[in-house]
Amino acid sequence: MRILSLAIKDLLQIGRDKKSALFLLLMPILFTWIFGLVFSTDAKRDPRLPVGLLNLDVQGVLSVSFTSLLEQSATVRPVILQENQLGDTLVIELQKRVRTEALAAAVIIPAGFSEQTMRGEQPLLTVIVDKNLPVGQAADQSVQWATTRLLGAVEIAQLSVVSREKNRSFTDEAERQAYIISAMERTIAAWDNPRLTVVLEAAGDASAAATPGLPGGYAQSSAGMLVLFAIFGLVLSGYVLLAERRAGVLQRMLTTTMTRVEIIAGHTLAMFVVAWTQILLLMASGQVFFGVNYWRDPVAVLMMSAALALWIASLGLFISAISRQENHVVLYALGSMLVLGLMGGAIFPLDITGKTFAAIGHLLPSAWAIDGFQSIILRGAGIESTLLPAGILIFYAIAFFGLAVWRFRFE
Amino acid sequence: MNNHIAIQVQDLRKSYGEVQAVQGMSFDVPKGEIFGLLGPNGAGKSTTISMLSGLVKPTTGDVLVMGHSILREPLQAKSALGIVPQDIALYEDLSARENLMFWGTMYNLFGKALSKRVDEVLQIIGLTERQKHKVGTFSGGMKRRVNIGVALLHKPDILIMDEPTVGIDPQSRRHILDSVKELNHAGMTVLYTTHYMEEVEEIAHHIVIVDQGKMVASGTRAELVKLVGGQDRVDLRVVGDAERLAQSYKALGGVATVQVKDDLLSLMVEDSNAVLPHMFEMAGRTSTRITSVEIQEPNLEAVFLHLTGRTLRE
Amino acid sequence: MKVLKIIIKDMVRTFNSMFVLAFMLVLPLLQAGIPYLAFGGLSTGLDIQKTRVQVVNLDQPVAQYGDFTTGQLLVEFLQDERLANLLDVTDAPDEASARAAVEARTAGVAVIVPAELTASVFDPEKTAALVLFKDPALTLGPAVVEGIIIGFTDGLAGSLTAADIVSAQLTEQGMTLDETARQDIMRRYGEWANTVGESLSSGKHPAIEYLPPADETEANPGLALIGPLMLGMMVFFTFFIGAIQALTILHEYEQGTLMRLFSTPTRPMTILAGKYLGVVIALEIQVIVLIVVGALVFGIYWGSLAQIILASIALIVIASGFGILVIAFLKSTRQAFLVIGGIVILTSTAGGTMTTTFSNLPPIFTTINLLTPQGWALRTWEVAMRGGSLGELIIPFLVTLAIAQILYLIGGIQMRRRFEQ
Repeated sequence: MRILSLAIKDLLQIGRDKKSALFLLLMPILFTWIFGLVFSTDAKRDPRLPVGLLNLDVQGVLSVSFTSLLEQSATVRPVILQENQLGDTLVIELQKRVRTEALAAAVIIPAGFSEQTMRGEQPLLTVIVDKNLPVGQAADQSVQWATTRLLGAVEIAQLSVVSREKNRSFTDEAERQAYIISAMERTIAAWDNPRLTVVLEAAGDASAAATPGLPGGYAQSSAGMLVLFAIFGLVLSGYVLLAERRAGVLQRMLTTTMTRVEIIAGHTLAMFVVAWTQILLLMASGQVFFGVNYWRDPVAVLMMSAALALWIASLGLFISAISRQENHVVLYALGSMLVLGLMGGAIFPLDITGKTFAAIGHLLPSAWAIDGFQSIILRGAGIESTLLPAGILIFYAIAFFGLAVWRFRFE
Repeated sequence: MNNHIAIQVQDLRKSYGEVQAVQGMSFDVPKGEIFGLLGPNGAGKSTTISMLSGLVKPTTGDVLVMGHSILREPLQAKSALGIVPQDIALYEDLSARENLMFWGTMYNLFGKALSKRVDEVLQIIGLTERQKHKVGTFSGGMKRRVNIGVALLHKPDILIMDEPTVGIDPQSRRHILDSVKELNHAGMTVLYTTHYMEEVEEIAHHIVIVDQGKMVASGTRAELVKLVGGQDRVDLRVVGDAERLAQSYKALGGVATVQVKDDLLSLMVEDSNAVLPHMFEMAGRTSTRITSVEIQEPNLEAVFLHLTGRTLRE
Repeated sequence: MKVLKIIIKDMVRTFNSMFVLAFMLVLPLLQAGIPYLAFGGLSTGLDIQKTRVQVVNLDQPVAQYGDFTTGQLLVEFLQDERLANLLDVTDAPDEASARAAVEARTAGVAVIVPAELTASVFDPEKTAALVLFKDPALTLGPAVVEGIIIGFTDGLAGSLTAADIVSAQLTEQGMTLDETARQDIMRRYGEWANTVGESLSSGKHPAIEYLPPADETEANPGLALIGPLMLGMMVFFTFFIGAIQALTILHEYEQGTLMRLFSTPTRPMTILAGKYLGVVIALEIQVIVLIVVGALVFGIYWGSLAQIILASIALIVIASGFGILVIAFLKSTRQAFLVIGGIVILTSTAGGTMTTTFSNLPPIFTTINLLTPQGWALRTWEVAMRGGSLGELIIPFLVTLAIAQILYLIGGIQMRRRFEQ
């Protein structure tokens, strides 16, 4: 009962303070909304990366085919450029547009490209792209793919011409050209409807579709954001405890019949409620604004969120135990948020990192928390998939709680 | 301005909206004197000091410090002043020496001259041994000494001390009062504000009593005490009907004023020796028992009570 | 001289504070250091994680072609030792167990080879679909497998397409393509596809010449994220420290030392100038350290010297102005860190400091970036880091300075109002 009273007192203090209440309630929502804008899609806008296409091979049959291949791409869309738009320094202008990300890449088809290629020569397309950036890498892959298919179409056309000529020669060059063009057109049409296809299926809920250039879309990163923000939120409860210690109130409590364990438990309970409230609020914002389906399995998500809140509360208690001033609480909270978040996969998923780093990251409670939530929202798994992550979070909660009790000072 | 006057306060007023914190304060602080500003908490002493120091702009009025207006010639006026604020205003994460060195530069002291002066001040405040320790590690009394030391660095003509002994131990308090007397003997003018009557009684040559933003009296101790006509103050603790007894005392000859608060009767009388026996007799007649008697010769507390009807510590 | 003394005093206090040092230097470096370790810094060789693949081959042979199945070819291709660094392939007994392995997360991808794969190779009327069943929480692994499978199917499909088209065209001309000729065409196309494939695997495309977007230092593509990440963190923490440093003004006010300073024969402007410059210098030190460490340790290209200087000036001036503005309206230092933290996190997020590694951002978000001071500071730096010309940099630079002026003006007026009673 006294533990509950102490927790209620802490919560009242937090709730009555306007700044704290704003921080607790408004910030998660605002943060979710801003981040959600990053992932927003506009139905009128083609989300594919723009690739500038400057065709100097004006009458060339291959240029037309190349443009058509780029238009088939799911990742890029061609932006047709005219020579007179770019001025004399057209390469410099294109480099600038790629540099400023007005274009993800730029392709220059040189004059005579089609003729030279058909003759068996190997003219080169010029591609301006920054391969150091993910967007450049994505654009480059698509351009390579289109180029390879174009050359494939040329190869097929040439094979067809050879086969035809083995049986019967062409009457004239015009007939030969027409045969080649027909072969190429058929090839490109065939690429569109191949006999052999690859179908992607995702386990669980497929609604969390990846957005080009981003590591998975909002559903992918929402679990990470949830963990990050929930950690930072423990600043609030840390402040309350610190203020009590500095005012001598904690020490005064020891003069009552309350035991040390009860006092610590009371504060921990308040921290747990604050953390859980923030987590629930973040999940609600994610669900309402961005359709992240947290509540597909309410029992599982409540269990995961409670386990996460418990770990965060114990971390908050530990931070309060070792902090002497308010700014220390902020430092340790922000530091925890960044380190645990970065290493645990909140900012970039661990599966894209090196082996060693991923192994280390998976030791952290933040990684398990993200894993548990992703099982629910991405994999569509139920409570059984969250037992292990939740169990590990509780283990860490106990460990941090033990550390906090060991380091706790009442004066 | 008179050459003998260090500070001339001219009809100083300060309003914060509807609240008039200081209402028409005017006085002169003679050079070489310890000038006391006495009043209870909230009387307007600190606001007056803030205006004197140039920290707060008066609503009307002016202050001349060594002939320089604080409004029109603030830098010259401030050069003559050494301010010891009521609250400790030091950098707790810097050492005593570092604090003094820094503040010295703010008073236009630099280089070897500054270093030498800092050594002198550390000696004066008795903290040479602890000069390299952070101020945050000092006791309250030690912090106050550094607080005073900062004000002495540039050898000001006038030292203004705003309630310097609030919340400190008796030993440190004694040290401060002795230091003030020593500084004054060396020629420094001191403007000393406090709500402790015994302090101004001990050190001040001239006293201004303030209450609710107004000057209520000004003069030497002897002159002020005469205001209460050399009357004694008699405090009686009684058991019984204090009000009834007070009423009967009012009719007693030689009793000037009677104040009742719970079981305490405070009387101003002409001659306590003559009146006391009658008081006991009257108490007996009203079936009221006197449990303690305290007689005080006229002091500033009595003056304040006489002038305002309240005590300094109310 | 007095301004300098105030600056020195503030710097001594700043560098005595573990909290400030941690925010100025430790946290931003951690923010870059951790991804650096994540993407290659922890090993000298290839350190990517293998993707666990369950493959189930349901392909059936076609009677007249013996026991040969294309599915077996695919399985052997996936199990080739050249792919051993990328894939850990296990044969699954059936489709259900392969899918279950992915559901249970003992595999990242299940490759389900359909029964009609071989049939579709030999019969133009038949089609086949390879199914990749992936763990949706994984990003790179499934993409790698998909890329490998598509490479295989493209090669196979290309051969089939070649034969189909040659045959169709000949048929239209009243000629036929016999089986030998058909196989020959498929073989020749396959050889051509192999040549191209080998060229691609050595990092070159036979038909493409690359130009970088600017004449800049070549960065390690594997660490391409570090530069933008560190930029975002540098901007975030600079604004944070700008506000924390400006907070010392309010702290001094509450401590009484600011009013004490005003009581000395020192002009108020000198005092405030000293305080403001202290903020600027602290930020300068922070930015210089981060740039130097970023360049030397993480190999980040920040731009040319002139661009670095201009972009740094822009960042420092606007961050200090922002800090002064925020503090000017703060009532007390109580919970200042909470308020500062909240404002800086929100404006920095809206300004784009958390999304510097993202690309193709929605226009509404890039518009919102420009409504924040952080957005303009970032923009100036991005021009420098991408090797833009000084001419391109000048506009964001000037806009940033202009905004800083406004922030200083408003903040300065409000500060003055507070201290003039």
